[in-house]
Amino acid sequence: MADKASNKRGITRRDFVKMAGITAGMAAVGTGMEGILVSHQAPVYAQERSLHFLLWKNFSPPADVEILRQGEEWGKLSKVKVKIEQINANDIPARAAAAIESRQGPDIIQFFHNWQNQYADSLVDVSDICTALESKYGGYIDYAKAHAMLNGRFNAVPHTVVPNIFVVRASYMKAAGTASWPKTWEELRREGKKWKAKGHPIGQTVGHTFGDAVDFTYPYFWSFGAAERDEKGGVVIASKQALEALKFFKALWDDAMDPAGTGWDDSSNNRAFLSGAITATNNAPSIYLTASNQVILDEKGAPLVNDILHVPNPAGPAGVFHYHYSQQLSIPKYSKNVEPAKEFIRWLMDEEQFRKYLRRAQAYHGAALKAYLKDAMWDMFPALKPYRDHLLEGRHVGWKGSADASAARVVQNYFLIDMLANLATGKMTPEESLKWGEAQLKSIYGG
Amino acid sequence: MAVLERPNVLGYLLLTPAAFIIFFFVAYPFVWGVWMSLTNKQIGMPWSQVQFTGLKNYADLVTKDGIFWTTVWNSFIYTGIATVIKWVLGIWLALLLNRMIRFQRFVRAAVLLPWIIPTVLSTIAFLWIFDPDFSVLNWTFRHFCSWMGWECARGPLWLGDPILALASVTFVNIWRGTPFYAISFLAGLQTISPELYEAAAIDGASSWQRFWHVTLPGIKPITVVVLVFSIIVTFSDFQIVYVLTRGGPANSTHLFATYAYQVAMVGSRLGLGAAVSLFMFPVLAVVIVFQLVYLRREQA
Amino acid sequence: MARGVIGETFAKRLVVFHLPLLFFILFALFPFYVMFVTSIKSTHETYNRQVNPYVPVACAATVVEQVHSFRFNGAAVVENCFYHWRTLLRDTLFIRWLKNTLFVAVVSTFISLFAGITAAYALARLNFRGADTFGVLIFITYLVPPTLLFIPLSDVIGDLPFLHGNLLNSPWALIVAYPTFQVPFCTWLLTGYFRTIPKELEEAAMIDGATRIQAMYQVILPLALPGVLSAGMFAFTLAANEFLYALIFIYDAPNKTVPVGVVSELIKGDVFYWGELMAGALLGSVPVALIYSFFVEHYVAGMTGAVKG
Repeated sequence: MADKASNKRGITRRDFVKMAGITAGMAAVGTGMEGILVSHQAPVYAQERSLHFLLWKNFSPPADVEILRQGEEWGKLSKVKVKIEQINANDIPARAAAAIESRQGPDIIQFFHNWQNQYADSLVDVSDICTALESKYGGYIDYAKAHAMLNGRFNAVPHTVVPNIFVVRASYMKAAGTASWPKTWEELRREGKKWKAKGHPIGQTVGHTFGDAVDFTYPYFWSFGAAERDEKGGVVIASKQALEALKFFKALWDDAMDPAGTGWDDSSNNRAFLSGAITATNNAPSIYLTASNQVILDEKGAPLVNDILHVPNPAGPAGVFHYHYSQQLSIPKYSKNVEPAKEFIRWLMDEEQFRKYLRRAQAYHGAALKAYLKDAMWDMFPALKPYRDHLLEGRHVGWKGSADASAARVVQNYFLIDMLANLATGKMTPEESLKWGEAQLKSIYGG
Repeated sequence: MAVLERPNVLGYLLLTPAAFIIFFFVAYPFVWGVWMSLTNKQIGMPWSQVQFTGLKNYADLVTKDGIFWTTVWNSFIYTGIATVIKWVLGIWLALLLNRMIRFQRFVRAAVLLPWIIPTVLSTIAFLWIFDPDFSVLNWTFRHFCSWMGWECARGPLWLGDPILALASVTFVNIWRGTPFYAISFLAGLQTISPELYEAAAIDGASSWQRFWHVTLPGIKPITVVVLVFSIIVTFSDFQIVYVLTRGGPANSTHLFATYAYQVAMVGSRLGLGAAVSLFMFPVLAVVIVFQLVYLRREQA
Repeated sequence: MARGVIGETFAKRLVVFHLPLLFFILFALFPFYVMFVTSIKSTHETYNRQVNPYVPVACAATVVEQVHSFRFNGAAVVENCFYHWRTLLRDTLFIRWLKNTLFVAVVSTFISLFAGITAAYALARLNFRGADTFGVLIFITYLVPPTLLFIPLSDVIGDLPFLHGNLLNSPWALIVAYPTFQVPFCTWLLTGYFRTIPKELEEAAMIDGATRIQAMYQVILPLALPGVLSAGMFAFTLAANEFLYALIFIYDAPNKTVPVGVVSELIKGDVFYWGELMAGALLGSVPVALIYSFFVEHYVAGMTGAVKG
């Protein structure tokens, strides 16, 4: 509460609230609510230190078990009570926004993509932790660093990376006469048409949801040589390449993709895949893990995991691109426990804990630190190795510009995704959608 | 104690609890919101950087924003269609419930259930009912088709098609809101004196004429209250869209509240989001003015 | 009730009465049926696109088998039918959430009714300066959207001192927040209601020597009871259904309300625990449903009586 920026308005507001408190006290007596609202500042008792950590409900449930256990363990070591709160990923931004703006709430918040760059000024500089980790573990993967660092200052500690490549039902592919996974989008469209004819199209969300929609859309544009902005940050979406990408997407969608994808969230393609509705989808390892952990059987009664392939994104005219969303931990400046929070993060990122976390998550995440690319974990989950092999191929949001607050806003407003959704739903032509998208991007980036 | 008999004293005294709540928990945040909408405020932006930008946010929304007008359109369609259908169904259901004799308690409780269940939870059930692959509706549709010997596709994509998605969220609102209309109209119906109907019957009025000239005027006061309440709540509805589509596909279901939420909470542009919210204000103010005028006229 | 019922043929009754009513009942209950069936199906069945979604196969088979063999095996029924219900009640904090919801809804409703009754009486009966302005203000309050309010509101609530810290993360945060939408509604409904009660009644009481407050308390309030009841019921429903404030203001799982608790604890990442979600939805509406089934008749009948009287 001591930071100067908040003081200026704190005076009036605090007085105001104090007044509210006093009146509330009077009202409390009047309405028989004695002692509900204390009319003066409550005495600060010597209280047990506690640390409040907000993160998502993991798509890999064992990871949650491990993080809770680690919280408890560190709590015992350091005599700090660690309170771990888990909510749905789609609800994190609102919780974070309310916390940052009212300057109270969790001491550590987990952010995805580069969300936290929107509040960079309100977050503690954690460069000391990050540079120490970097030198110890061979540096960060580029895009994870780009997401956590703004203006030369880390406002978050890169934690994990959730990799996204294509997950494929091998038998469906074969049944339609496709020998191997298509190398290019053009091939994917041609082969996908056969899959769709057999009743198992490609399934992909272009709806308003935090993960899969971004994971597919961004690298799709990049692979056609289109980008939101250039190196200097100017909006360059209105390009020949982007138009090409949009035109092709319309064809791909109509020919080979499941029209239901416009209404999907992050969980829909998992369900569709596991129930045999689709042949392929761009996803994190959660489909594989669910099939494996719940021993889901296919139509012939064989374990479905044996029929799952993990393959890279097809290439566009500009090559193969992936997007793996990063997850990082920030400490808001309002926190009264900055030091314990830093201490806890350091401890979490220590090899002993972090390795356990990754493994308990069954290789669902990659690490933001490069050293873990060679970790023995990948041999323990060999089917997921392709995720590791493409882990370095990602880019950051806002590429080729920086992953700043504006780039986060573009993600959070689903602008690029809606450019595709405009086509998938038939609301716009590729030209109209491009024009629409450019206007939206300019409203954020300026220019 | 005599001082308490004076309207000026007693009036203010009695108003104090409500005034307190409204002043501190609504008026202050509201003024704050209005102020925000006139600035470039973003989540976490230090107050030293906040600049007064006048009506820029409003102007940007109206002139530049590619989603705002879709939102406006959606909100009017959503509110308009849902309100009219809820009204018609509500009166119809109230008339049916009004002549109910057997199982009255059970039937009234049953039709009230949609209004009672927490919205988020019933909407999650609808998420499942509208699921493209697992939809009960589509299963029924497919099997009805093959039973009829028709060639059938998988069934409608309830949340994937822009028009159907808006229709689906509207449907959920109607499902949830109709019982409220019905039960209020039922109360209204029972205030109508049976003599009026008897007199109308003696005059030889048809049942339609009785409905038009006795029933509708009889429930007019409650209708005004219910409509105003319902329009306000429907127009600023959030939960149904938030659970089912988050405004997608391609922004086809964004309402004022969900778009404001996306802009301000998720996209951290607090000032702009506040402006989106406040655009609701004049529209709803018209509804309120309409009601106030009506009340004045009734009193006169 | 006196209308056209006599002399109606059965066929006409069927068309104008029974069939429409049946339609409404189906319309209202169909989603509840889906919820119930989903809550007693195994996850495997839920995700099987081939089987009939209306029938809980495993559960039905168990029940049929037991009825057939005259051997009741409770454990098997729980395992095959009420697996998700058991998980919900045993492995989640559902009962806690239910208690929190009731606590928050009841307390906030009483606060709102108190504020609403006093304000409505003042606005309806006392001709004092500024009454009109305040009446309009209350209407306007109603227009302020919660999506706009919750950031500044969390600011205010976070600054209200409470026990060792502030109100955030306590059910009291919601008890403070919910009257923001309950009070305007209660005041509004009750103002109208008080106006329907003849002034002569309390004037008579005051001529007999009662003070105005006594008259209000002893004469008007009992007559207004149906109105108070209906305002209270709706305020209660609004509070029990609220989602956004509960999501933002409460962090700890044991302090959550039913809507937020069920959603945030039973949607785990990309896995929807459909069975538990549906069971939670059904169970979560029981308390409100009970209140309604008890009060609705009073509400409807009472309102009629009060207006006639």
